Amino acid sequence: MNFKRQKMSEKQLADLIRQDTIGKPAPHVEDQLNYVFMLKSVRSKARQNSFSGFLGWIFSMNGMGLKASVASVLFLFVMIKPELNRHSGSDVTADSTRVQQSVVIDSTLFQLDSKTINDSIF
Amino acid sequence: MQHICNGDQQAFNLLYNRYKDRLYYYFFRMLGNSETLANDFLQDVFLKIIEQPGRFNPAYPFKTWVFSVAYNLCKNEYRRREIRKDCPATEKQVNPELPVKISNEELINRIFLSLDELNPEHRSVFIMHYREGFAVKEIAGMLELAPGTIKSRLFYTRKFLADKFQHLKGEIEF
Repeated sequence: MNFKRQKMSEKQLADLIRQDTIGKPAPHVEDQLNYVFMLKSVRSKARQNSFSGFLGWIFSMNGMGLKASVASVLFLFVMIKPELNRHSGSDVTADSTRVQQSVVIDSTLFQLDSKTINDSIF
Repeated sequence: MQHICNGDQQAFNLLYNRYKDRLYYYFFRMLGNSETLANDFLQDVFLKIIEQPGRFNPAYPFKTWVFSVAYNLCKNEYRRREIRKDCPATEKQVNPELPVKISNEELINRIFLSLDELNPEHRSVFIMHYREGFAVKEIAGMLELAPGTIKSRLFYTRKFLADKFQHLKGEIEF
């Protein structure tokens, strides 16, 4: 390019700067980036197959309306269905002297006679 | 970018090969003609793309976005140098015994040595405009400055070069 005895125009200056060559980036940069990219995609694929996304959504502030309505439906369902209510109406007492009622595995309520128990033991 | 978000390695390679030389050149000239720093910063830009692809706004061209990321990395580096004060200021002065005639290669080297005396914003505007062909408006968007400021920086840089290369006035005039 000949710049002889002339004021360098915008284009000439741009052409001059574009002629500049400084070499190429080191090949190890590309290798490292490819490795990091591969790791990242493997990690994100593993995350896609897990529940973490769903759990993240549950505990995030997104879709609060939907979450509130689902929670209210569940709450109403529990309130309406008495069998889902765990309160059995019997108090479990274990004061080591007298047992009035005890709940056994098959949910049958046994009325134990405290007198009999005391007699058999002492 | 959408393909990269989905983990498409080929798309990433394509993007890297399209921008590696341009970004490498930008970092090389912005960071004191250091190959090591240029490689490190090139890696940093692409790591940002890998780690946070969501930061890219598809409403803007990728080229503009990636150069604004590159500029911010350089700015942070200059800020770090300012704080640490461990890197001596570039004192690479142009040889006072200047030849009357000069080859293009030598002229380019001297231009960039002279530009090291300017602040990074002037240098960045110069490279983005003359090397990358960005319009004043685009550079203004990238550097978050008014277009008038960019124009005045370009004017100041040319004036600075004209003063530096006054001895070549018979041959080249900026």
